[in-house]
Amino acid sequence: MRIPRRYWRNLDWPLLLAVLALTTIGTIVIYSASHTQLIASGLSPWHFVNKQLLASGIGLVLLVIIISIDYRVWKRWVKVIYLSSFLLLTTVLLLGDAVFGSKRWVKLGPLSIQPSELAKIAIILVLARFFEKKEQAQELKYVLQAFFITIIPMGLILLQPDMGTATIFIGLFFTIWYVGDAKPKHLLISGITLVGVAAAGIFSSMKGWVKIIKPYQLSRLLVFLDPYADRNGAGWNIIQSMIAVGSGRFFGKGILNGTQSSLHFLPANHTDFVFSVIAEETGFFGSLVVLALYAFVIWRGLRIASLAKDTYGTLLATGATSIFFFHLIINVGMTLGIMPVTGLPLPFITAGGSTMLTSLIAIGIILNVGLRRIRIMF
Amino acid sequence: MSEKSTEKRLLVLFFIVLGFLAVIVGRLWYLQLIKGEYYAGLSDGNRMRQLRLMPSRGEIVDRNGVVLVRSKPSFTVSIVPDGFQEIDDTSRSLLCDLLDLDEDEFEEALEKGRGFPYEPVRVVRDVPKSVLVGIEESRIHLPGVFIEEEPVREYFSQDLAVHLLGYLGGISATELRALGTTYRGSDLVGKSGIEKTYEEILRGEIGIKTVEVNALSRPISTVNVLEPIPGHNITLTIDINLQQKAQKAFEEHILTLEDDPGTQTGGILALNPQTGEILVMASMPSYFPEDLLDQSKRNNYYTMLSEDKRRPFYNRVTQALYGPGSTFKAITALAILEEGVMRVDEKFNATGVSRYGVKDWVINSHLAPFGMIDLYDAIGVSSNHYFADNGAEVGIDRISKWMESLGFGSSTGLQLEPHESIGIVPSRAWKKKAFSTKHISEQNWYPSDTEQISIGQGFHQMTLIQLAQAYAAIANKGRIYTPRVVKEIESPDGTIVFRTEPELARVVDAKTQTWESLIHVLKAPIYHARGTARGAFSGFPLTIAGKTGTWEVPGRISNGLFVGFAPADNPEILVAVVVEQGGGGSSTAAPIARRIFDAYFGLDLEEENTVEFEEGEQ
Repeated sequence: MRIPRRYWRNLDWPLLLAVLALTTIGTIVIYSASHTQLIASGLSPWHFVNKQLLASGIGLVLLVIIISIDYRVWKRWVKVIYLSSFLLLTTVLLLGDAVFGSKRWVKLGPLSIQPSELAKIAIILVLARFFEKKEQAQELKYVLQAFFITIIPMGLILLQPDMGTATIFIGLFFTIWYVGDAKPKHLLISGITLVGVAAAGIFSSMKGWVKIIKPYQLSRLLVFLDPYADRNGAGWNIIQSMIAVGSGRFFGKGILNGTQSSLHFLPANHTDFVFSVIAEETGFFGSLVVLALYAFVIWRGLRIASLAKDTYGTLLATGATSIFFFHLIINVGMTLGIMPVTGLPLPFITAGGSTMLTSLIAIGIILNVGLRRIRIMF
Repeated sequence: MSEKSTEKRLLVLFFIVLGFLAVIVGRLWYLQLIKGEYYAGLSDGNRMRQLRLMPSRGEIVDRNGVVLVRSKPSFTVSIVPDGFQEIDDTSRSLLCDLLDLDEDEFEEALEKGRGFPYEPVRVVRDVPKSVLVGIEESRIHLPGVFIEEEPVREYFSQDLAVHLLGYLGGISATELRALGTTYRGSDLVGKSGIEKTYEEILRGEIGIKTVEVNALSRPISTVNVLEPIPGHNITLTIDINLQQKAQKAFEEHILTLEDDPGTQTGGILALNPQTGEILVMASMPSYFPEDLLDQSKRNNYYTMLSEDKRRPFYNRVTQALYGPGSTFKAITALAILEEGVMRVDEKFNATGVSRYGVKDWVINSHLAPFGMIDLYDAIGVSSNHYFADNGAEVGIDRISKWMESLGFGSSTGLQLEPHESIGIVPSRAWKKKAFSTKHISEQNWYPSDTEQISIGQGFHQMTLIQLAQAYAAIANKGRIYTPRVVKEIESPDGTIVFRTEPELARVVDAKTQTWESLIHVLKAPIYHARGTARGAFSGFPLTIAGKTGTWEVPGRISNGLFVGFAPADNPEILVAVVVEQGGGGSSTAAPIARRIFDAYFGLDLEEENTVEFEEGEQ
């Protein structure tokens, strides 16, 4: 397919550069966080870095493919994409590999993919298509339909169990609905209902009346309220993470010099707790740089949403951008002890192929909408 | 949809994002700038340690519940490398003196903790109380030194069934990668046998103790304890008393042999052909797994064993490949009968030399030829001429087919590390490939090759357990049960979580009449007037069926074999014995087998100086 020249002018290069900057930072941090452990277990210190670079390479190829197909063409495929993500999620429940008690991965030849990551993209496509029509966003009957469409994959993900990713589905639903011109009254009512249901669920689990969420999930959910109450289990991670972050002070201990991570006080330090390593080794200053880069990515994403040619484009870009927002807040909040421990990755930085692929696909969606806008930007 | 409204909503969204980011920045500000000093202090002397609590490895008992291997409580001296870095050389030599170590051994131990500077790495296991007291007294000079409780293995079984039980050794880099995150460089893992095959089941789950330590890395308070879960206990199918008598029979018998008495190696296998349960598995010479754990003897003992030309670590029941000698004639007989080459009572004129020159032993000894004989006579006197001519008539293609159907050339399904060898089933295709580098004339299959196969001196190679399995098929009229060594697995709380049942591995398709004929003719070596095992089994009160064999190796003393089962018509036990380089099967393997049959049926009671296997104190 030939891409008109003005598209190249319209490509949001600053956004792409910010993404590359975050990926580079991620690679360095992954090395710093994992090399001692890898050496100790007899593997190459570059093990995770190589995997990450490979995933970014594949992700960039996907991104180029996504950019080259007009996003309006995807509308036709929405049902197929939704159904295949449903099938993948069912497969992972039935045949998936259990890691740390959760079934999240499914093996496709040499690749191990996480269907819940792809399901996020699928739900954005579906919801954007649904709320594209204003009357559907404003009438409760349709909204309930959309909600139903959202909670099916979400429920399957909860069964894995992966609470973090499931939560994001709720966030995506509300964000896309809101920008799709939801009535404030509806938003308020459903927001209050949701909080009520969640609170009731957690409360009755604590009392042991129902068994919706597993005990370890409950303790992870509640432990951030008082990490010192459980210093050995979930609390250990939070305390060690806070020590890591705090001890970084203004300029940090220097790359590769983080004692909390290299001495294995920090668990999962190249995946879930990767931000603690950034904060420990580069301090307040480095953390601000990383946060600023994310803020920049989100700003560019929402800007493209506002400049889009049509509502569908606006909603796609909004949904794709909000993925980064939710992951950022939940992951970083966890490492700082102000959010529950959920195991959500930090996009572009956490070591993990599926996350990298989904993140770059989401960027591809945003860039695609930006390419095909009407107005000329400066 | 109005453009204005959308833009407004996106702007609201962006302010929400900024609001959340502000909270995060505020939190960072608080943790890093306001409380930075405090957290830096915590991280500098991060005084929390997570110590691993080692579970007690599961017990291994024999079929009657006699404890063979168990774990006893003991103490390990470990070092937290980080805590030890700061101390001077005098402390280092003090510790080496106390533990009776040289500097190299000490450095080697420390090296295993590389990458985990805040986790204790073991220096010496099973440390005597007196040494522990010494360490406690010098505590002030020994920062970073921990005394941890860790059970050690105790082998009541001594040198019995070691190839079956296996031994423990230091984990290798490859094993560390394969076994996962709960293992550390100074851990012990099963290296062979049951200890290796059931490593994860026996090991249990490690516990974690979180402690706060002082500046000398000495625990001052316990924050939390997650108790370890002991390993599962395993009940084996073997009978340790029978095993002991079998090993003793072997050791004593080889002392009576003519050539180089006492130097012979070999293997013994006894199993119940009706269930596949293995009662005895011995590979000789044996060794003492406990000495492989003892810090003071370990290295020397291991070197001695690895350099021993008799290869004590080698399992001669499942790994070693043997030529079957005349024990193969039972398999040739099966093919002859089933393929209709001869009837069981049909006479054959054994003149002593076959068509392609295979001779009967009587000819070599300048005695009269056997003359007109039937299958019973032929098995009894082990006539080469009979089997060479009739085997060649069956042909190699059909013989290899029968070998395969009896399980030769494939694994028996025994669950035991290291994995068993599968051997060679010769065929035309096999020879072409095996001799592909040789001249074409050597790649062709000749009738003389088939003659050699038929009498057991050909290209075929098999493990003792495969040979035993083929005889089990005869004893059981075609039904082969998968050989197994584990009877039950019991969880630490005493519930049986796994119980093995007889598993029919394969059914060899032959006429009932053929099986009955084979069982009948296999009695000939014991009851025929010139039977090859007549002497070894004289006076044995039960009916027994079996065959001797001698594998001739040019320029070396032969290997002797015997495989037999009793009672012949309802077999409870099948015994297979190989004695390497001791001479013919009649004089080497058969007498050892006789003693095992005696012991199994309780006929050895009047025998002097038989000591019942002593069970360790519970």
